[in-house]
Amino acid sequence: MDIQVAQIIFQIINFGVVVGALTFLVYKPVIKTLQERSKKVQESQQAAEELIAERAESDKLKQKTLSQAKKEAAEIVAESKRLADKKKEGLAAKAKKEIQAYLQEEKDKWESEKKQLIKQIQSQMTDAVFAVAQKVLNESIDKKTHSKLIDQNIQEIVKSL
Amino acid sequence: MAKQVTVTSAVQLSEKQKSVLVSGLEKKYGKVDLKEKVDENLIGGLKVTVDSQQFDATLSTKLAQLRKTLS
Repeated sequence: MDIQVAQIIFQIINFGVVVGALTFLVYKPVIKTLQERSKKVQESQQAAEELIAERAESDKLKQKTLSQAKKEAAEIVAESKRLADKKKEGLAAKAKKEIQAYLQEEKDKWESEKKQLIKQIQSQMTDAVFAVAQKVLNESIDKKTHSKLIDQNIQEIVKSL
Repeated sequence: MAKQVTVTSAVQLSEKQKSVLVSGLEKKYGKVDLKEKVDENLIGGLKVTVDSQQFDATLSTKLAQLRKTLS
């Protein structure tokens, strides 16, 4: 077997050129491409993670806002109920007061009418009694009594002059 | 000039009664001219009117005063 040095060297050079060519033309671009892809993937992953974090944050905020809104709504409902109850009590008290005032007014009116009626009856009774007294006196005073009365009156009048 | 005096009574006054009354009136007013009236509505007693003055001792007036007091 003859080792042909020239061929070996040629082959080595050939190999080197091929390796160099491959490195330059294939290896480096591929590595570059792979690196770029890896970078893109990383960036995408990072973006996705950021998005997820943002979404989580947004969800958290949404929950907080919802919770706050529910709390405020409950407070508004409670306050409205309290105001409605207060108004209802106020109206009931006002109605009660009005009814009491009306009843008192009617009672006072009745009392006044009653007093007036009693006074009227008393006056009529007095008139009747005096009418009877007048009649009785007219019939019971005789001449002698008239004369005595007149004498008495004359004495009184003369004394008062 | 004689003073005009009106005496209203439930029954006619006797002469004696008239004389006593005139005598009493003349002591205060001098000569009087007595005018008599009879009004049964007075029930009893009499009233004497001299100018704007009146002396009312009638039973009807006393009854009316009593009624006013009671009402």
